[in-house]
This record gives sequence, C-alpha cells and structure tokens, in this order.
Amino acid sequence: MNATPFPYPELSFVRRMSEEQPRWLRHGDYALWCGHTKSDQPAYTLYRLHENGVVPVLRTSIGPLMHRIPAGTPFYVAHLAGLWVVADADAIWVEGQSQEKRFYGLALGGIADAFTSNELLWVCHKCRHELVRFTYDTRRLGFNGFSDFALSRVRQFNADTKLRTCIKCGSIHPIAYGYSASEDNHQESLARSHG
Amino acid sequence: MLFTGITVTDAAAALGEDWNFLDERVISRFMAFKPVGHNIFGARAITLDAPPVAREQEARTTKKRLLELVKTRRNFEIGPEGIVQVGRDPMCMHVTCAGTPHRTEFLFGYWHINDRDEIILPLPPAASAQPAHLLIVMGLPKKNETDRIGWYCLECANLLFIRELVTGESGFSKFWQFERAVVSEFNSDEAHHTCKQCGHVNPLGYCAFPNLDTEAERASRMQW
Repeated sequence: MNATPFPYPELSFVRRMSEEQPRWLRHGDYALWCGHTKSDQPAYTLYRLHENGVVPVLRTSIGPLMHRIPAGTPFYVAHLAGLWVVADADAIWVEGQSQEKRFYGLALGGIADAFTSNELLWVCHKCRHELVRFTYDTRRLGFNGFSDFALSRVRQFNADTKLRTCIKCGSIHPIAYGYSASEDNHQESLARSHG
Repeated sequence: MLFTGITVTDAAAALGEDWNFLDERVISRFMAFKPVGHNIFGARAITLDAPPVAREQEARTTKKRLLELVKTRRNFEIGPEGIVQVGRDPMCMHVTCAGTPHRTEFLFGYWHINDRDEIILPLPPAASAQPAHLLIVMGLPKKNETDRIGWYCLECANLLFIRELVTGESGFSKFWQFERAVVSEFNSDEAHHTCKQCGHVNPLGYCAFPNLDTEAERASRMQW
C-alpha cells in the first residue's frame, strides 16, 4: 500500500522589492505588493484620505519610511494605481532607496479575520466628494483576484463620464489606471505618468 | 498634481507625530516591538545599535566584539530536514510562516515560534553615512494564539524544551517578562539542554536584550 506523503510544510518565502513584474500576492497572513522605480521615473506617492483633505505621506529626508494605514482608511498610491483602496485589515507602506532606485512595499493583513471584503473608490479630485465605490467580495473570490477586479472597475469608471463627474462641484475626474502598467491602454498610461 | 486644491500639507498634524515609524525621533519606540493596530512592529537603525561610551574597557571590548559578530549573523529555521540557514537579502521581504521555529545568531538565544506570519525586511543605507534599518512586522495574536520559546538540539534538531505564552489573551507586552523567565528556567538545569536523543550538550539560552545577560549568557551569546 502506498502511503500518501505528508506535505512538506512551507517554512518561509521571499518577496523581492526589485521584482520586474510587481503584483499583489496573498500568501498566508498577508497580501504583499513589492516594486521599485528608477531615478528617472516618477516616485510612487502614498496619499491618505483624511477628514480635512488628502494627506500625502512623503519622506522628509533620504531615510526610509514605514507608515501604517489603519483598516477602513482610504489610500491611494500615485503612479502605482489610480484608485482609492479601503482594506479590512491594516496596511503597511514601506519606502527605501539606493543610489539608482526607490523601493516600495505594501503589506495588508495581520489579523485572522482579515480579507473578508475590500473596496475601491474614487473621490472628486477638487472637492473630495465621493464619486463611486465598489466592493470586492474577498472572502468568496480571494484577494489574488483583486487586481483584475480593480482594472475592470477602472475601465468602467473611465468609460462613463457620469461616474467621473462630481455632483457637488461639477469637476470631471481624470482617467484612472490599474495596478499593472503593462496592461495600460494609451489613456491609462498617460494618466499613470500624471499620477 | 491630482489633489492640489485639497491637499493637507502638515502630515504630522493630520496623522500624528509617529506617522513615519522609521523617523529618528520615533524609531526607538519600536526597538522592543510595539503592537499598533493589527500588527506588532519592530524597527531599528543599525548604527543606533552601537552602545554609548561604556564605563569599563572590558564591557567596551565585549560589546565591540558582539557588534562585529552581529554584522555576520546568520538566520535559521527548522523544518522536516532539520536546521536550515535562510538568507536575509536587502530590500527583500522574508516572510517566516506561522509555526516555523526561527532564530538569529547572537540576537536571541532560543527559537521563536509564533502563530502569525512574520515579515523581516532589511533596508540597506540609502547613502554613505546613513544607517541601515531592520524592520520586523508580526501579525497580532488573537484569542488562543500563542508565542512559543523553545530549544532544539543543534546536532540533531530534537526538541529539548519549550514553553508558550497565550499572547492572544495576555497581549504581546507580556512577552519580554515571559522570555526572561523561560530563558532562566532553561538555563537553570543542565538536563534541559542535554539532548536525550544524541547526548549533545547544547549552549545556554539568552534574551533579546544583551543588557539582561548574566555572565554565562553573555558567553553563550558570543557562541551561537
């Protein structure tokens, strides 16, 4: 009788911030995204939505940055993804740099009951009024499908001027873009370069 | 810029003074790990590890030797194949999976086993004269989740001694008191560090904070 081999447990794994094809990956307790920009590319900039406006989380020196985004707080990373994300777990944003590159990491998670649902939304870039919000059923669909979901909603948002028009101030939101630059169409690529 | 008219320029006023955990005015709060929200954060700037001027030459020499050792420290995990060395490359998130016994030479003299994943990220200096940084993020234990401290035989990986703290109930703040007590208990009896399988006598344990070392523990820290 052949015994079923006992599965070899995974002890640890590595995500490199130098990855050339950055992507979200939920693995274990965390969903991780790692990436970098070269010195001639625009730096990723984290923004947090705040009761008084939009707060850029910027390094004040050459030194590194580690910032916690509490669960439920909308955040936006300019040049990485042109959308606001609301996670049901805390997010941790890390920035470091070498002479040639800036390195970034984003981790979501930390608690056992995370990854139930995530939301993405857009707010008016002139007055902060919420334009539209979409919910992703993370528990049912798995976090690893979130990027594809985001891109489909980006294109829905871009295709509908009504969705992008603020009912409060009348401004039209610029074109949005998803997580993967390699999947950008021309408009999205242009929007990504603007942030 | 996209949000020009609605940007809040004073991040510290909006987000709190500790908005950057690695800021030199903030980072010392994370030296001994600090739970914030859903995670426990540890952070240190490597040059800040250098001790202040020591009172005695001997202490200075010992600390200097220790700092030299720390530069070459290795990291280990235990799996079905026994003790394995693992890398810690700069700008790489090394995620130790929940349940994996792991340790770092000369830093803490025991195997740590947590019920949540642990992210370790070394950041090299951004420029010369800048410090390197080491970041550690662990999931926050909840309910009956635990942190364990154990010793395995360095020759055959047989479990020698283990204790657990239900940090999900007690909170992580109790961990250091627990650590001190468990290290003392392990060290108090040679039977605890003698392997019943292969007979190897293993070195003493030591805590994560060198200032807590007994003389014997300090000698052991230099060894493994």
